[in-house]
Amino acid sequence: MQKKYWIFVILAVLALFIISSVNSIPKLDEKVTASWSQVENQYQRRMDLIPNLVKTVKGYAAHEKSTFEEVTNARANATKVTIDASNLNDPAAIAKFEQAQGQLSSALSKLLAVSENYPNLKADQNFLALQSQLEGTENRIAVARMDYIQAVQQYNTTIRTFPGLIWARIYGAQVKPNFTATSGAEKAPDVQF
Amino acid sequence: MGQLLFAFFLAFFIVSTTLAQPSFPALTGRVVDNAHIISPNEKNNLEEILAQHEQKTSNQLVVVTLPSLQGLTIEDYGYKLGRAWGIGQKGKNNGVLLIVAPNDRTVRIEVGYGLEGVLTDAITSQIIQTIILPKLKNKDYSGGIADGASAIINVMVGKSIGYQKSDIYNDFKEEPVLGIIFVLIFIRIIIGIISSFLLVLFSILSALGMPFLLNRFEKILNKLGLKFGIRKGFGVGFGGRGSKGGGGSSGRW
Repeated sequence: MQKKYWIFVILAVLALFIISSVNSIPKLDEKVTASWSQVENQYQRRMDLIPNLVKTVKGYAAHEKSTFEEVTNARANATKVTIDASNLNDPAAIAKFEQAQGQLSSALSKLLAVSENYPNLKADQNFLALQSQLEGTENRIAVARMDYIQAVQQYNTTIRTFPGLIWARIYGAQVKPNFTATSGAEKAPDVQF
Repeated sequence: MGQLLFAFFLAFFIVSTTLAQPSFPALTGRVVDNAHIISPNEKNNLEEILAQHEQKTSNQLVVVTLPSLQGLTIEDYGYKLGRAWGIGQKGKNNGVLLIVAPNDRTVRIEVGYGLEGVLTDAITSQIIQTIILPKLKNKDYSGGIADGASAIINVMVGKSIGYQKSDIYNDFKEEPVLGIIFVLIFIRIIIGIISSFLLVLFSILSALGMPFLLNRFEKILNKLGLKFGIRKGFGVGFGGRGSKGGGGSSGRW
């Protein structure tokens, strides 16, 4: 009697383990998709801040035309390069996305660097508020990217190691491309008050 | 023999968790003054204010001072600390951290998702620049932190930043009803003991590396935490599990 009992327990534990392992793949996949949405969310937040920022700076530095053009063009370009769940697996698409956002980051850095030369602008309340929002957004972008990188790492590790690699075939799971941790997202210049 | 096993598991747990992240201080209360820059008097006042605010609104504001940021920027360390501690109620994500690192001369207000609409970057930046930094620059750490915390609470309750500190005291002072308080304390002590026991079980399970059991366990613990209102104050380590996305502002002096 005792032996039979133990076999049941072992089988039950094994079954639970297998179920949880099989389920982990789609769960981690969802996590990747969700963290990607958050990345896009925060990049979008940055893009929303830009028109106001450009307008405010123009109010004090109207003739810095090339800088404004660069930012506006970079932003327009960035809105065109979007990624949805279907091409999250495409490394070329991710690279293009990173590049577009990276260009926008450089253009923004230049805009803020130019603003350093205009003390009245630096004292403008509106500009200060926008600047703090921009800094906050850059930080949120960094955090969202970090979360995405970790989500992709978890997913990739699970489908490449045992036992995930067994059930990975059922889902047709492929290794997902990842961000490089610091590419493109240069920090906005630190402004000393 | 049992004790030996227990010690082994505990050691295993400690090693496996410390390998992963920067080390975070223990969440011993709502004011964690590891850099020892807050006067004991001010610390008590602050703890009371923060506890009362949480009782009224469920928002969790925790003040922490750190002697070192372990080589990370305060932005990087801040959200990680917020996540490790799980400040804020799950679902509401209404946690806020006021972090001061005097040796790095940086301060940060780290805002959870749920409060980002109220404590916007512009507002937290304003609080840091106009209220906290001036006092920190003069080494009035207790004052700067107390004023900063008051300003944050002001904003969270919908008042303007500069609402006087003394008014906060008056608003939140309540007449204690002794009998009920004793009963509540007794219940919370019992819950604290049960939770400590569960925490040990939890750590043993994570040491054994059984993810699926852990998930089930965590769910049960979260439900328990929510049902009995287990809060950080008992040092048990179960926060509301609120989430953080890197919102907030920093300041340097």
